[in-house]
Amino acid sequence: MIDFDLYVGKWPFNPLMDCEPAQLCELLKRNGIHKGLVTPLSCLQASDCLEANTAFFDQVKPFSDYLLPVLALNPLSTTWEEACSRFWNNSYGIKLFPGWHDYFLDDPKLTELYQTAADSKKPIIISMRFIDMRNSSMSICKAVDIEPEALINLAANYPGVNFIFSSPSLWEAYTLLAAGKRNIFVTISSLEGEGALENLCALGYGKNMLWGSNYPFYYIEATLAKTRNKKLDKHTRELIAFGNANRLFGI
Amino acid sequence: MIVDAHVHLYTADSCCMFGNHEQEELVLRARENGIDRIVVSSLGQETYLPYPSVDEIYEANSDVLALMKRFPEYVYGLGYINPRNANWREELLRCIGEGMIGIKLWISARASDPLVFPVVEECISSRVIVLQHSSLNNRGNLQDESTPFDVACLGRRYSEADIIMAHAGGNQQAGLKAIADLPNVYTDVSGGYPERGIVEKAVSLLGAKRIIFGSDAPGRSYAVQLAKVSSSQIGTRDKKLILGDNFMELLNDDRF
Repeated sequence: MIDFDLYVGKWPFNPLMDCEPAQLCELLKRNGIHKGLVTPLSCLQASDCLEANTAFFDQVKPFSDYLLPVLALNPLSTTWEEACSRFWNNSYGIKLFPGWHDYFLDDPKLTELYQTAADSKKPIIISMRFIDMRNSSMSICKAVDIEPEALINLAANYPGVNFIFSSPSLWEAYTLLAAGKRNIFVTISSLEGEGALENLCALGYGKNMLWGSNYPFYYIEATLAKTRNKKLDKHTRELIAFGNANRLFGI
Repeated sequence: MIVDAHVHLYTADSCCMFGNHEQEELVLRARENGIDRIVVSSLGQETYLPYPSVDEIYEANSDVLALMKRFPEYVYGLGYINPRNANWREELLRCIGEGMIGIKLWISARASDPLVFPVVEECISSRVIVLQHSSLNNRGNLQDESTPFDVACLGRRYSEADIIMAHAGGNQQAGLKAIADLPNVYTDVSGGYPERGIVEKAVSLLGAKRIIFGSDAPGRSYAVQLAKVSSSQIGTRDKKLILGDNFMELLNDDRF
């Protein structure tokens, strides 16, 4: 099983969310998760993208059997291009937080990033959410919703890039997958509803879904429970848990 | 015993998201997840209706009664009431008379609106519980959607009423604090994403005895919402209280 929705580090608004790499590895092992694509929480707050990613790549290096680092970028940071060039080769993907950092994905400064991702076959991971902004007690945390239509256009404009949309709601995931783009993938951490996951799989979208927990914000057991659902056939469960990751990303 | 105190019927417009299910599927799926009882209300046949008419309410509640009759040992019913409807009392008494254990108030009137007061007074007289929706949305509530402060106002006014504030008030920090000093106001932890810390926060602010498990299925998943309690960092005894004992104690007098 491969988790596409993991974070590591400190979350200043709630110490419950703090998660060090060693703890995270233990949690993955305990739950039968073989590897996780992990992003630094520090990059959400940091003004210096390079500094935060440097610390993060050093931090997770000893845990490379389990934790696969993902470069977290904020194109509004003055150091983002340097972070990109320094860590590109060691990263399993590039994660963007447009709603959190407040920019548009069609910003011309991102064009080269998309092109490089296409050339190097690295996925671009776009965070749709990691906490529920509607009800969060952390009033300092503001993020705008990303409209699925804008994401579909992005995927259409860059057909050579595999886009992974991280933690969409059920409605967002449905809209994204129904666009029928081969380069659109979603993680299942925020997919909820009785029958929802089976329904998406019955519509043929199982090959575009990736297992993700959104830990430490969500309980990892919550996503485990989704894929233990006996109404999903074994083949689909395996596609979501690791098959798609193997096939598409060589993980 | 595990009791899911916050379940709704499928609506016609939900089938594109969840698949096309018969209502009995709610029971079968709950059983598969180890749930022993579900407490069901309907917010409308076609879609969730914020201001249901007399006829729409009648149809919705009749659907719940039908499910109760089909699974009498498994399904408890809550009657959906719109306090703006002239016949709310008649509908409430019909629901209770046919075996429902309480009412569901959604977003047709705020809990602090005087329109709601006679409804709650009737619930006190009829000795049934009130499940009151609540939210504290950072992006703004709907016009007649109750905040936890509205629920607290209602709970303070009617200390004899057993009120369950849904969704931990929508915002655990402020929502739970709003009802902390009101022993007759419980909260359910239904709905929302499975964020860590919600149950722990509720236990620390209210104590485990005033917290009730609910899923908000089918919009949310039984298994995921169960994980919020079963994976929380609280004691086994507290989990047992939350998952079922507290609700059964609410019912476990001579009312039902």
